[in-house]
Amino acid sequence: MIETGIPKLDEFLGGGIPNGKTLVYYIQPGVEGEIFGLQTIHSSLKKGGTGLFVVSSTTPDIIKGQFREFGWDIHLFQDRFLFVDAYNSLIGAPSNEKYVVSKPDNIEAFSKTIIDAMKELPPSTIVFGSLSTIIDLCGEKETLEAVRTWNKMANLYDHVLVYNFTAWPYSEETLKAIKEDMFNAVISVGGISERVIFGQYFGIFKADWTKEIKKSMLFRVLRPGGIKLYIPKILVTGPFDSGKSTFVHALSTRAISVDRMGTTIALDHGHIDYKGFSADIFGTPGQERFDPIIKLLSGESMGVFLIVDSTNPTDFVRAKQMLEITKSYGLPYVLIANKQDLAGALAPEEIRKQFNLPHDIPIVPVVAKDKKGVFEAFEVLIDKITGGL
Amino acid sequence: MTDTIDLIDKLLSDLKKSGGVEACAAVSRDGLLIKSSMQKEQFAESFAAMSATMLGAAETASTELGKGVPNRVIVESTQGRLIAVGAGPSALLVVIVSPDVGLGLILLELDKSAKILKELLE
Amino acid sequence: MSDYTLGIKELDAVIGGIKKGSNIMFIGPPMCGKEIILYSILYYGTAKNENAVITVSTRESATHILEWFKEQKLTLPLSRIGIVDCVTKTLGGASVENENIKIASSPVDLTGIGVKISQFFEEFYMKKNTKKIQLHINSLSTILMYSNIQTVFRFLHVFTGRIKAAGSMGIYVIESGMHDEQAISTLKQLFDGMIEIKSENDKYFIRVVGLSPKPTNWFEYEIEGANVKIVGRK
Repeated sequence: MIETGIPKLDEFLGGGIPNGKTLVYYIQPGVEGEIFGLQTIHSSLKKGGTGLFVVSSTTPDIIKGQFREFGWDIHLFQDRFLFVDAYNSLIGAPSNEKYVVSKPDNIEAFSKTIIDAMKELPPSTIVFGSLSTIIDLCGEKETLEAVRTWNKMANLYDHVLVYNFTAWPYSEETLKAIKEDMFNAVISVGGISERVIFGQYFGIFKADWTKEIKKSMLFRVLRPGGIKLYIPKILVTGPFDSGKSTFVHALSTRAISVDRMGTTIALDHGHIDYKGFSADIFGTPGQERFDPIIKLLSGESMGVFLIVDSTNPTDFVRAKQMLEITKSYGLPYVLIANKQDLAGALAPEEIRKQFNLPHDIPIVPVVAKDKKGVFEAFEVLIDKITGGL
Repeated sequence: MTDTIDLIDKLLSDLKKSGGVEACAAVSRDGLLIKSSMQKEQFAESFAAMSATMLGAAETASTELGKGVPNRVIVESTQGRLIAVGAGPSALLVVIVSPDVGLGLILLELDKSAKILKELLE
Repeated sequence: MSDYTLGIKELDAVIGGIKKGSNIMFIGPPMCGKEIILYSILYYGTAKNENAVITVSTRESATHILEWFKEQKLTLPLSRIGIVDCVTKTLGGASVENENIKIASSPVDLTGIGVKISQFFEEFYMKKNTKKIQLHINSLSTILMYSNIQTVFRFLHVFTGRIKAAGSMGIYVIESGMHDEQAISTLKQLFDGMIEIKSENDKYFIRVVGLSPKPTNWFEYEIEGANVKIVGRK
């Protein structure tokens, strides 16, 4: 099995892609999706496998350059990162790569090179940089026939085949075949649009070796970093003096607060990049006079941290009230039992009793000022947001 | 001996005498009402909190962008204007002004009053 | 939202405004000043009408284009300019992206070009709140040199559709005489109108077809530096 290296996708796929199987990234035109193939080959190389990248619309050097842009060290895999160059011949340039397709617009020549490579190499991850370009050059029917042959061979020789396919308006027949019949797994990569595309997501359309998790995740492409899951807003709220601002600053890579005389009067805002996630965190004030602001801040949140001072059970009523104000009912949330280091701090189970908290709401003990438990809490909330198994 | 609070009261009523000022209030930087002179007294406390938030958020936005501390925050609508000005590290002064009056004199008076308020609270 | 204009007053006067969502083919022989006319439309749109313009350039690098405007003493409002440079990487040049410049790997990489266009659209429309956006492609002819007509048609199909959905305006340059009639007719299906240039006796004439009830007259023009001057009427 190889991992795709895309955060959360491997989990949704039941661990990754089993050997012998084929997967297509079905990309909406205009969305930055070709990096999915690249990140997958990188993941494979990192784990010690051999990777073969088939370039059709750009040079191998440019692909290597992109690798570096994402901060991935290509030198570690020099001898295991191979290319099929089906591009340089198009522009009449020479090629140094191990495998070269001399006539990229001739599907037979193309196919021969691919099949030769598959026979020679140990079980590898083979990524087609642009299936659409091959179709453009060789024709829809002809290419799909060849792809069916390659997929069968992959099964025989235990390779994993991954295709980047940009869904230009090909014939209905072609699009249907690709989306529904030809591959073991189809990952949709698309844009959220309202007149123009803003925001990108990916989701599993089909995966025949596992029970599919039909969840879509927002993502961003970071340089360096690659594909990161993007959570536009996580809310941090709770009673006055429970430690919300401290928590936001502890969790964030960088954060600012609008506070005066020791209390937040507008909001805290921070950003975190952690383990494949990129998220923006908004902290609310706790004092009642600022409640009008809280409604403003809480729109469009994807998850909530409710922070309480573990030494102060009398505030728990106010904590529940704040959940209501932020209209967070229904959103995934985690209760943070802060100030666990102080005398008189109640243990999480005690707090659960006093709060009357249902058992599916996690409580995480934290000492925000020492950054203790903060990242564990983050992972717990992410799990809830992404609907972890 | 006059209480500080009486002096602030006088400051606010003097300010209100300026043409066009409909209401004014002295507010702590963390959003608590010190004293107000406005018709809708029941709204005064919320108003205090929001004014502090506005000025505080404007200060953060402005300094984060390298533009320094704002001199004032002016909120304009068809029905009037709200102007908030810092009065030292612990307070701010806010006035509500009718829409058709020229701002020149009011801003001068406001700045003067803010200075006095700052000294009263030191 | 009001309509778009070209900035050439004699033409604008006859056409009236160009409806939002219009896709226009700009066709003419080589060396007739198409590039300057396009730059003039760009300048007019951004500096005078607060439009944002996304230019896909297959022949000039982004820095060359920006330098040209500087030399002509035309100040461009850079916050509304986006150039997709398809040239620099093919020459092996160092490619630096910034607020105004995105680099595509080559004129062949239509997927990559599409991504950069979408990104500029997102930045102008959503982040900078500029709703009036023009897309200029200079030129489709270069793109057709590398990819077959069906491939280019599919690409244009998607982006002319996006122009319509966003209420923008698209102008696409084609060299006349470089492609067969069949190819041009195939592409014409996607356009609402044409800006046409012809040359006769060493004089150049321009007209607009399809954007007004009747085609406009042929206007004789001359290029002076960065200016397009209409000098006569046929």
